[in-house]
Amino acid sequence: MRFKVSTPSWRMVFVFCLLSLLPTQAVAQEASPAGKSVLLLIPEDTALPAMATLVASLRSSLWEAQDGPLSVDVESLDLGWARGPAYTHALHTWYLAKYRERRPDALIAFRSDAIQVALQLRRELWPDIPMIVLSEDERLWEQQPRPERVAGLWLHYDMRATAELALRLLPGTRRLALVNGSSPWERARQEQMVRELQPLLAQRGLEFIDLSNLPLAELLERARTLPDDTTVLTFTFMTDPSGRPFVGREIARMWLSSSNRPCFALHDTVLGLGFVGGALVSYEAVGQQLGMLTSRVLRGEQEEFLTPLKPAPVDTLTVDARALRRWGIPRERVPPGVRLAFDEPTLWERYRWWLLGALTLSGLQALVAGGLVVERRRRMRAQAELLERQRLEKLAEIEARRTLDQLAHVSRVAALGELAASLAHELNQPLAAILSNAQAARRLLNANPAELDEVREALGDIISDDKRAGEVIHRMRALLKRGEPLQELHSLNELVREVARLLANDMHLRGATLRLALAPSLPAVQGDGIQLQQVVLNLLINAMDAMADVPVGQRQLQVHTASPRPGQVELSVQDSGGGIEPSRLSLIFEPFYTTKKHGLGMGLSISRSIVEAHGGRLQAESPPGQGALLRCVLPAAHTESSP
Amino acid sequence: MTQAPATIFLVDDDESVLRGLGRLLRAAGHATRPFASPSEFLAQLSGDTPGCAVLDLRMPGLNGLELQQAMESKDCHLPVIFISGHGDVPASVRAMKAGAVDFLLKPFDEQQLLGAISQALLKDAAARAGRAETAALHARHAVLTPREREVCALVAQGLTNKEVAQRLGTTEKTIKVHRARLIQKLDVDSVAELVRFVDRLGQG
Repeated sequence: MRFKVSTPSWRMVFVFCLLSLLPTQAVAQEASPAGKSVLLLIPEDTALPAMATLVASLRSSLWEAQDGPLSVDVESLDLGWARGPAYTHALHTWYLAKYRERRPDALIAFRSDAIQVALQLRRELWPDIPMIVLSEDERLWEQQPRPERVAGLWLHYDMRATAELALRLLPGTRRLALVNGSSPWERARQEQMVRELQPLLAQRGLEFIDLSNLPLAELLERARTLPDDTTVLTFTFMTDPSGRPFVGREIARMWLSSSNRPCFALHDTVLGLGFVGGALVSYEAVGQQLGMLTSRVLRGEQEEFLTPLKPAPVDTLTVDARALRRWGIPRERVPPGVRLAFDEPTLWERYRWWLLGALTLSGLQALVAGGLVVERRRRMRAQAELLERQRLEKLAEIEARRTLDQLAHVSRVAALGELAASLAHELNQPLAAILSNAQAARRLLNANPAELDEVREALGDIISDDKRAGEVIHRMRALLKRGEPLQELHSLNELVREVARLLANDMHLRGATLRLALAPSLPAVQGDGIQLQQVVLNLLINAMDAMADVPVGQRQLQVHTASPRPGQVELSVQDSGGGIEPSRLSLIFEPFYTTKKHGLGMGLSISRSIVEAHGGRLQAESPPGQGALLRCVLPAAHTESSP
Repeated sequence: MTQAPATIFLVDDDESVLRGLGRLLRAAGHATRPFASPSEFLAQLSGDTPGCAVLDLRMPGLNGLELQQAMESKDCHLPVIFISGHGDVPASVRAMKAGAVDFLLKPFDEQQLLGAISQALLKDAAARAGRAETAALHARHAVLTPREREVCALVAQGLTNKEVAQRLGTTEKTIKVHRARLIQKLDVDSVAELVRFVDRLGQG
């Protein structure tokens, strides 16, 4: 089975803007004026083993046959996964641009789909240069008139011969399964191969299992559960039905390791992976023959254009001797003339009896001891693995939590930064009052007689203003604090009140009114008080920002706390802004999503992370005509209720 | 000129600032009237009380600058001192351009405040005196008969009695009588003083 090894080429995407950066894959960059050049169009990535072998072999064959330097430009068209007419059109346009000033002496194309691209290119750019095609389709020129000056080879993927070989080796076969991919080219081949197999199936009364055009997972599942009397024929698997290209050799191995039945293939590039064998196409031989044909054409031998398609001598029936052993197929069944690959006696075969004797003796001894050791080691390893896994999980958890704590801190600092002007104002007010009172008191004491009552009042005011300033700083500092998150019991109502006090001045200045509806008896919540306050702070700041466009008298903010069901505590924040479009309800929790000119867009994202880290959830709703409603549900701590 | 004692109008939405400021100004010998909101202040505003206004710049509802405009539109010309809890440069520039006496950042020292207040009171007194004088001029001028006003205007332009008589189509003698009477009514001693009077009247 041949699998696509290429990753998708993005070439076409960048074609028109990144001309100079393109990988041209040319071997000899510049042909000397005297030297000849050929352009080779191949359908798939050059990294595919089949393509790589073919290109290398063609090249060396050309160089041997040609006197003097020769340049070979290779273009891989990436046709494996269906991309429709727009892609082929873009490809065509690109090659027109690229090769307009770079006329090759001959054009070579492999596979029917690449041949069509090449024909069109030649028609438009250089109708007079010779072309050499390598077609897997014998009836290429039955479907379209054969153009002039085209020489051709037919590369026969001989499924029939492969099936016959398989039946010779496994005479008990009652079912033949055929594995194939989903690209248009693969599907076209599928039809042809089924046609070829039809007489054989009828003649032997075999059941046919179609394993083409399946998703990979399903294909592998089917591989495991094939009926016992099935033999598997494989062609390629370059794409699944969704058009996803596959990374090849791994998938070949996956298939082989999943398959409970012997498998046959058509490409010598996968020989040795575990396939039993088949009529394997040797891309080296094909490349060599193609090179020789091209040389003759370049030398001007016109008779090459007479035959439509000459068969390429590629039907080498090959069997992997190791696979024969693996499936217990007697060697006698291998028909004469079939090449036996990897047929080297193993050490075991060579020294079987000596080894058997020695092994029996030492084996018996070792068996007992070994069994015990193995058992013990297995148990220890299992234990160690379990511990290690637990340790890693714990570490990951700690790491995630630490990242959240750091992010939460940064976001708090940012939120307080937004409040800075308001907080400065809030501090300057009591400071101004204190200074005025103090200076008034000094004047009152100097008066004659001293107005002591008034002085006493001034001092009382000074004390309360000082406390007020202290509280502002305390609240701010609490939020700026960065430390290990604590697990303590908190009253959600108290957290809300505290934040409301912090924001009171800002709200006042923004002309917003806050209505607190706090449930009188609410269970406590457990967690980090600062982080929980941060959630409340973010929700309130967001709500105020959401009302920036609302006239001053109508900026209303409602904060509710409740215990909707036992074991749960809920906080909801409703604003009177314009609400959130339904399509954005989930977006607002995305990091860096913001509709504001200031701010990072992290507030709600971090709030949700904090809430989730506390075992709760945070959701947004936007009831029609009511502004946004953010609802935060936290699990109640297992304890007595708190006021 | 006798005058009612100056009053300092204080407008600040922060109660303790309002109390502190009031106490300080009273201790410094000023009469104060505190208001906790711009609307209260505007409601009680009367144009004839001498003094000045100390306004907080950032208040909910009307801010200080809007309040200043509202005062002007209510024909209240009290000089204004702005105070603010945070250094908003564009706002302070606008305040000064709109004719504020000073812009003080909280917390401010009593010397700053008292200095600004005495400056504002001087400004108010001067403006008031100017306004009073103009009013007196207008009052005196209002006593003249229409004919005397005509004669007054022409004499102030420097015309002789004869020329005035020709303009008004009457005799020089009649003009002399008008002239003597208007000089008596306006309480001026010379033609030069009459010219100055008319001049100031034109400006007032």
